[in-house]
Amino acid sequence: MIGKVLKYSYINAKARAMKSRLLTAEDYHILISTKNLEELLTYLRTTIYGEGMPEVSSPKELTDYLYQHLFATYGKILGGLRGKEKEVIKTLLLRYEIENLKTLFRGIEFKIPKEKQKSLLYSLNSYSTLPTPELLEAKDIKQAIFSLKKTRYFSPLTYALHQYESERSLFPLEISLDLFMFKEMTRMIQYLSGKDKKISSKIVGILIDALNILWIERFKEYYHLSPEEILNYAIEGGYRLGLRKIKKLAQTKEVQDLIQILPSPYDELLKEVKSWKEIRKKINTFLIRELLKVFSMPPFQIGVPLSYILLKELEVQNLIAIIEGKRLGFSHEKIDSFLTYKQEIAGV
Amino acid sequence: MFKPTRVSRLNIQVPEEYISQVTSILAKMHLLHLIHIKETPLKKFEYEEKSQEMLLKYQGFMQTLKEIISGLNIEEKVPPVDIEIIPERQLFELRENIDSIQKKTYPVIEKLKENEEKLEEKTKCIEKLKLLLPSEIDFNRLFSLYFLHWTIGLLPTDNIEKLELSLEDTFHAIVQVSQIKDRTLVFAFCLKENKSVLERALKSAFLEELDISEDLKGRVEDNLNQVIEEKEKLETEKNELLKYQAELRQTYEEKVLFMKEKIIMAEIILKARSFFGKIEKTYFISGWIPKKLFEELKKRILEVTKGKAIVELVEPELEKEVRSGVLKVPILFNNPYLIRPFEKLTTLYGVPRYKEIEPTPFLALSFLLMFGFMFGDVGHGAVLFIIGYYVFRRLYKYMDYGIILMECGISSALFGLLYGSVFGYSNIVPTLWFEPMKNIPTFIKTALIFGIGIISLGLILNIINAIKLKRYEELLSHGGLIGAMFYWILAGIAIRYVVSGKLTILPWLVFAIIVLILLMTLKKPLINLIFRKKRRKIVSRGLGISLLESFIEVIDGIISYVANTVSFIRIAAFALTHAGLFIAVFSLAETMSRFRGGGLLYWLIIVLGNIVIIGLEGLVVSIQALRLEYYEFFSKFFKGGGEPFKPLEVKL
Repeated sequence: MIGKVLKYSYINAKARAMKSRLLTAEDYHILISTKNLEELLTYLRTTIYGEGMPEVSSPKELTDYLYQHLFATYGKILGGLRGKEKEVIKTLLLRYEIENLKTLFRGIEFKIPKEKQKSLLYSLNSYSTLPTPELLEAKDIKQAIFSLKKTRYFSPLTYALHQYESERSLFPLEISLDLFMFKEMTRMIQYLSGKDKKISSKIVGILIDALNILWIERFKEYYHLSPEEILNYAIEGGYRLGLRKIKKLAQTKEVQDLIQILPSPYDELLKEVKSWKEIRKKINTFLIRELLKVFSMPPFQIGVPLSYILLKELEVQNLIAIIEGKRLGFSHEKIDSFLTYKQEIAGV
Repeated sequence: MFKPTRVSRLNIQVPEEYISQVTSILAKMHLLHLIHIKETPLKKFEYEEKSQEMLLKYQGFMQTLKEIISGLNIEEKVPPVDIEIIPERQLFELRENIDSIQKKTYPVIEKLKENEEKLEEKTKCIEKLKLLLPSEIDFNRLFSLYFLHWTIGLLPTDNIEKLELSLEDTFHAIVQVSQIKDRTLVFAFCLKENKSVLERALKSAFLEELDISEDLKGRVEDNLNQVIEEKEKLETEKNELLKYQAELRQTYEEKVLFMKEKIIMAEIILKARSFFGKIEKTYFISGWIPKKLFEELKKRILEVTKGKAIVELVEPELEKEVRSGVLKVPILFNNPYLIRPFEKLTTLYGVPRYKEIEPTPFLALSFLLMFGFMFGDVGHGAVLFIIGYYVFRRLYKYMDYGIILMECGISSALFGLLYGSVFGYSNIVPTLWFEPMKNIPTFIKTALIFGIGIISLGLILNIINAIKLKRYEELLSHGGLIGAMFYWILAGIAIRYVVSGKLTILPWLVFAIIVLILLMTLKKPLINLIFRKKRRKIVSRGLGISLLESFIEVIDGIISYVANTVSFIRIAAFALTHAGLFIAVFSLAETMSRFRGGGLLYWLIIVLGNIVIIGLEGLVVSIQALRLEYYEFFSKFFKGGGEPFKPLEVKL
């Protein structure tokens, strides 16, 4: 017990303090109702995002800054953790590194100018293990993959390289990376002990469930994949959705059929859903509720920093949705409909 | 020494027909720092260089030559090229020569490539068949299956469970043959009507299919032997080709390398032209050149242009852009051979400005002194010297570091003689000064006095810089003349106390200290008073705040002087650590010598201990010496921010 207190007292206090500075429903209301980027910036400067915000003149610059802010927050959380616990949170950052890798692959494949490619990357700085200069110089995908020989991505990429070479599609490479990333996440969680393992398995499990349900949607609707392919591309380690369940879900034709055979709590949660689009919002709402519940559990556990950083991530995603909505000239109501969780966070 | 080579601004106007010859002379001289025409008042003469087309041709030649060099496996060397390169003239000769060599060498190079590709193919096939060996499969039977569809391939082992589940509703069989790292070799079978289901599932499970050629007949083992035989034949053919390659290499090596150098030089010349200006049929060239080379250069240019060029030299001081700070005069170091390697350490901190004192000689001398002081041992010095000599002779790229190591070795050995220490033994050579561990107080006092000397040198150099750069107001600051006088009074009192043990402060010294503090505090108003221009106020803000700010600055300066001086105690501390480590090694060796086989253990510990001390202490001492140089010495006078001299070939 003493060990847990020593391990988590600092980061627990820090995460709770930082959570109190997450945006409120009122903040969201004002941000949505701003008339232009300038007004949005003026208000955003009065929140935690105002600390150290540089001069920003375009939506892209603001989005870049928001991600920088998010990675700095990751840095603060990681600074308060050590050992296996730190590694678990670090694996969350793999998602951004993998997104960078995908961007670079697309850049090579579609011959996008280097400067443009660079501007599209997340600035992970010291958290990145990618040999970015070599990747930018790579003449083709094969050369790029071989420049990753010393990284953990080499092995999953070699699994998919032959498929890329025969089909000239980046899809196998990208899905192989995604599957690897979640495998790493669940593998790292296995090293934790007791309650830490239980709580992080649940949180990451919900993330995986959400993705699996959404992927089934995407694979069916856009890629027209067969049930056996959908199952092979499914992520293992879900909270309620095991492989057998995913197989059954993959065999359904309509949304309603899928929802009917979903296990608890998703069946109840999604019972009123009529289209695929609503699923994401509902599952995110459920995720946020679960994340917030962690703060009323015993304090000395990994769930607190883990939940906080995921809430922060969702907040940044919401802000980016607002910025994009404004850029595209959407109405306040339409922008509001994209923000899936503000009511749940409000007042907590 | 102490100041960089004097460079002057060179301006040349050349008629178009002579531009190649003149550029060639400039490139061969290796000591011209080109200035882009747009950085000069002649920027309106910037033009679009048409020689880019020719540059592309030369780059094409280079590409072909590189292919020949790699195809013939020629070792890259730099032959001396002492001819004048005129790109327009050399173009045709080079093209002819390269074409002729290409014709003679390409068949062999191509055959070798083809042979290597085939060899690689066979190697892969052998690997594949070796994988299949444990299955003892008969290809005839496999290819004769009528109702079944089959696939062989490598599957990530972790994906097998998911794959089996995905095929649960289809008649199939997945046979695992062998494990290779994180993948498993599998045979997958299903009814022909279910072929598409199996293939979709296998693909999504990332199966890497082994391409089994229908040419394979019979058992795996027989096929393997046949492919091995074919590979051997290809290897014999390769050896023949290599012999022919060696003959070609011998014939063309020299010529190819010579042509490569010519192309490099031509490329430099062509690229240099983008720095030039042009009006009608006259080119303008501008750059910096060591003053002493001017006359010879002028003579040569006038010779090739038959007196039609205008070559003039302008002193940097007369250049408007230099005076206004738009253009910086580049720094060309001018140090003796043994000090030159230390220039790297200076530029690591900053490049000196043109009129500033060039600090490399001071850095070299004080660095070596401090290193020897902290690392004094004849044996260790000798080892460092030997390592340095090896680096100097064998590792051409790191030659400079070899010289520094040798010099550190000599310094260390000389101090070793003063301390009477050889690999930690104090009974081999007589002690010329004293043993550090036996007289620690004296040692610390010496380090402090040395520190005062170094800081004083820094202050003197700062005063000289202030005068040279005509920044007289700096003389009144705590880093200038007033600050130096203040420091020397305090240092005098401290030295007297350290030497005699008495702290006597005479009344006039107290008076002088107060006056100097006042002068430093009132620096700004005094400067404004002395150097005041029209309408400038003596005190720009409130008097109280200005004085308080100045006073805090002075106090901060005084504290930093004390801290900087005390910092030099580390010299003694690390010298004592060096001696202390010897004691530890000897104690350990002594203890081990009491065990069985003690004699051997004793010497083993002594040798290993010395290696560790040389490696670890050597590194720590270098870092500490460099730290003292940068923070305690350079910070007193050296601002940097100058422009390094980049000769033509480096700049392009």
